[in-house]
Amino acid sequence: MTEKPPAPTWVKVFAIVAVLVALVVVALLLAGHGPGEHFG
Amino acid sequence: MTMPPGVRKAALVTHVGCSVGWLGAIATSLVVAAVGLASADDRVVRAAYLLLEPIGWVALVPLSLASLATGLVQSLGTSWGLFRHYWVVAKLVMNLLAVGVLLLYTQTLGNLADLAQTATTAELRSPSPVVHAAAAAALLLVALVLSVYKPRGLTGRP
Repeated sequence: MTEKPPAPTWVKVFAIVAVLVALVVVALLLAGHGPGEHFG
Repeated sequence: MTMPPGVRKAALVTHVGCSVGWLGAIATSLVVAAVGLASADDRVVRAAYLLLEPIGWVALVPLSLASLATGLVQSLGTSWGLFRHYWVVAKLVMNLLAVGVLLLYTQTLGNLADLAQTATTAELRSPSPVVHAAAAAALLLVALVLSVYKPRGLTGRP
């Protein structure tokens, strides 16, 4: 059985940035800045 | 199944053309959205929000779908594969995310175009199109960098 190669550093940085962006988007949506914000 | 060299080149040209065209359409949207947000002229503000909807349907949506489709052809038809290299997987995820958000956002662009005919300029102005266009531009620029530099890293999938 071949072992899976470790992910390069850039992939880990990408993953961390993606999670942070996702958290910001979730926070914005929870704060009421979602679709329909300007349409009553 | 790998494509013969001539077909592969043609597929690559099509993919780059669609993707760069998409980036250009996003840049256009960003400029129009910024004009709508910042202009002091009431007619210009209304025109900007009316214009964003056709830019979305005529340029952004077709080019984004074409970029996704040609990207799939390019990866599946060459030795790069779709899930073999991290940079290809990253581009696929970003493309799917951008297309999904864009398709949802067309509804907002339609609402803004409707508002442009009835609402006051103060009610109409919204930073939302600027934020979305800027985020999309950033995402596509990252995808462009990945495409050119092709950073190393195999996922371990065949």
